[in-house]
Amino acid sequence: MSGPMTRRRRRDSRLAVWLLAPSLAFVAIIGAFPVLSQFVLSFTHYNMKFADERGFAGLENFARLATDATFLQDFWQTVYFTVISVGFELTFGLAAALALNRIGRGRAPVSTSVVLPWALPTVVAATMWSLILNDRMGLLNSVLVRLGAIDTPVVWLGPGLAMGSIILADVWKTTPFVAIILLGGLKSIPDQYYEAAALDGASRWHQLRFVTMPLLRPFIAIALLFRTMDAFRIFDIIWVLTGGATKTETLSIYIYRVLFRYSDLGYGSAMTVALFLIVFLMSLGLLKIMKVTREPLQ
Amino acid sequence: MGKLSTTVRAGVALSICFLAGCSTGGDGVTRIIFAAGQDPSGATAALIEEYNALHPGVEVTFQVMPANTDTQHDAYVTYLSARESSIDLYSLDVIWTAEFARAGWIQPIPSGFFDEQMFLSGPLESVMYEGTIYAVPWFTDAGVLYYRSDLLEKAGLPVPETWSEFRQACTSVAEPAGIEGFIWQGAKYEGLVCNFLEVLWGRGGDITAETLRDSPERAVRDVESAIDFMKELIETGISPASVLTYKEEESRRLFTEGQVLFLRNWPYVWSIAEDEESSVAGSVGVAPLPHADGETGYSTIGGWNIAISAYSRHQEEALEFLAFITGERSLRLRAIEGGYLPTRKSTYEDPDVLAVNPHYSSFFDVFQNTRNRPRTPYYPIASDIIQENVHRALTGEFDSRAAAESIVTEMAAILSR
Repeated sequence: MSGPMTRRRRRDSRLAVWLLAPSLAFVAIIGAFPVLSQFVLSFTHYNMKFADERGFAGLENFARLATDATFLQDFWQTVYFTVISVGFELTFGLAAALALNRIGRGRAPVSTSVVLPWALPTVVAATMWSLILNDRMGLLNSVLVRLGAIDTPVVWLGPGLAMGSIILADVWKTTPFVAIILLGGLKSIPDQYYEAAALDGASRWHQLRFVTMPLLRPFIAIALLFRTMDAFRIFDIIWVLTGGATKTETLSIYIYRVLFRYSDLGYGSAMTVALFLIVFLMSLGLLKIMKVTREPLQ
Repeated sequence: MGKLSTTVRAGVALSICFLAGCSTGGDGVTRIIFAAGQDPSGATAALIEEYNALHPGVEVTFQVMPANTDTQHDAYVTYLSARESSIDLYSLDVIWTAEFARAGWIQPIPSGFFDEQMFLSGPLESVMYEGTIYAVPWFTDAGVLYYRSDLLEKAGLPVPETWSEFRQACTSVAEPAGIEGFIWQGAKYEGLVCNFLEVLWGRGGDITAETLRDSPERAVRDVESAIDFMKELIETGISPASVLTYKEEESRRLFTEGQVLFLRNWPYVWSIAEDEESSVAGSVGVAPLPHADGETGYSTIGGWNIAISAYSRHQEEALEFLAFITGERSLRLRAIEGGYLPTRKSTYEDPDVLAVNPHYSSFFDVFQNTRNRPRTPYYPIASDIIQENVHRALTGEFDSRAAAESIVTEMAAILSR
């Protein structure tokens, strides 16, 4: 009896390989090839404009990276941006998801308005914020002046405040993303768990603490992972708002400068490889901390 | 099904044609592509149409590029480093000549192709790299000073020529009127380089390869004092601290809303300031930028040149078109229709051009004293060195002496490469 079954299974798996082959080849061409060539380039001296000076560099690009003060400063600025913005996004996203989950009637319009910032292209959102934050013609200053909170306009994108303003814009833009993922998680928790907890005399706080949060953990992990990876590679909002001035330059902006403005493929690739490794290790670390496993819940 | 496969077949044929570079079709017509930024006035498109009508064997196409200069630069670098041959002519920002020439991407222009005497000196200098001409000047731009003629007149003050007269006007006119004295472009971007160099030049300083090599200490002193001067403008309240976040448009808007006495900007502001929607229409004047006592003021030159791709397979046809599009008649038409400032001197005396653009005569005065930004194949790096250090010094992150020292050392290294 088991003979035809295995044969069929084998046939199925062979079919699966054939069906997958085109997309695997596609991924290899558009995904693996550029990544690999980036690795190769990072060991060369290669400027697109001065192709005649091309040559093998060994580890020189990486040695230069280790002593590059701009790279180091931008790294810490990127870490600062990531930690603060993702922290706020998780907090506000969780609060929004819990609130949305409790709304019975009229959820559609509320959800839509919550999701709206996420639906906007980032460059559009950033341009909008640059108008809001403009010191003379901006909405924020004119509201604050009218409320009497300030007398003279604040230069939101100036020294000291620029990074905070950028974080504000990013939190506004991406909190909805976290909220949607966590709302999906909340929807997957069966009502019976809460009913059982209520029968056992658990308060609302205890239900949140001992039912909701543990079951939501994988979803929080996904949101955290996605947001951290994205935040660490932040480019567009900062590019539009400050162009990297006054201590707001991140690694991606520096890499853009080297790769595109200077067309220095060798050094730029070394930086990209470094960024790739940083993000990769960070993601592994996050997964470990969040203990995302396939084990069923006890 | 049949329809789909026709589309697919056409697509495949088209891409093969594209890859193989079918620029001469079976009809014997040579196809020339000219890449440049958009011309909303339509004058360029009209000129090309006219050219095509006069030359049956040639068909020129206008390839419109992104309006953003940096994006355009990056696109060209990508095309040319891949030896793209389908584009024959490129319009290049004046700061790109050295870079593209050094890379071997643009073709030297044959000597005697145009009469050098006919062109403004600044744009002419910008097409040269190591003694060879690599492009033809197309249209120009330079930093100018806009002022509120109504306010100066009321106060009985002349248009300031030196910085001390300028400051006096700011304190005696702008402060009592409750408006800003002087707005410029202080954000960390290319515009800051232009603004900084103008201050430096107007105080007798410079950062050419020669100055940096022969008298580096003097260069450090000059750069430091230029930075300090700009800092002082902010500290004394002549300029608000927010200029350090302004690019062209933010600064222009404040001026045309009537909130500023003096504005440093490019010639494009003129027509917006004189538009009926502007609250300063009819009370705006244009003058050369102020300078220190006993010195001469210089404006940073901007604008665009046209070069021929080294990979073009139609060098002769491209040259012929280049002569037409940078010729007197073309520049005149673009000045009349689109307000593009011509690079040929004679255009500034043309009655038709002056009838539409009466302000051109004041701009012509400014164009007598212009200078180019450092001409080096490593210009993007040079620009970032200036942007970074000047901006950090102005925001107080760096001490101005330290910023001046790194500008001088790093620029010297770049310019001697």
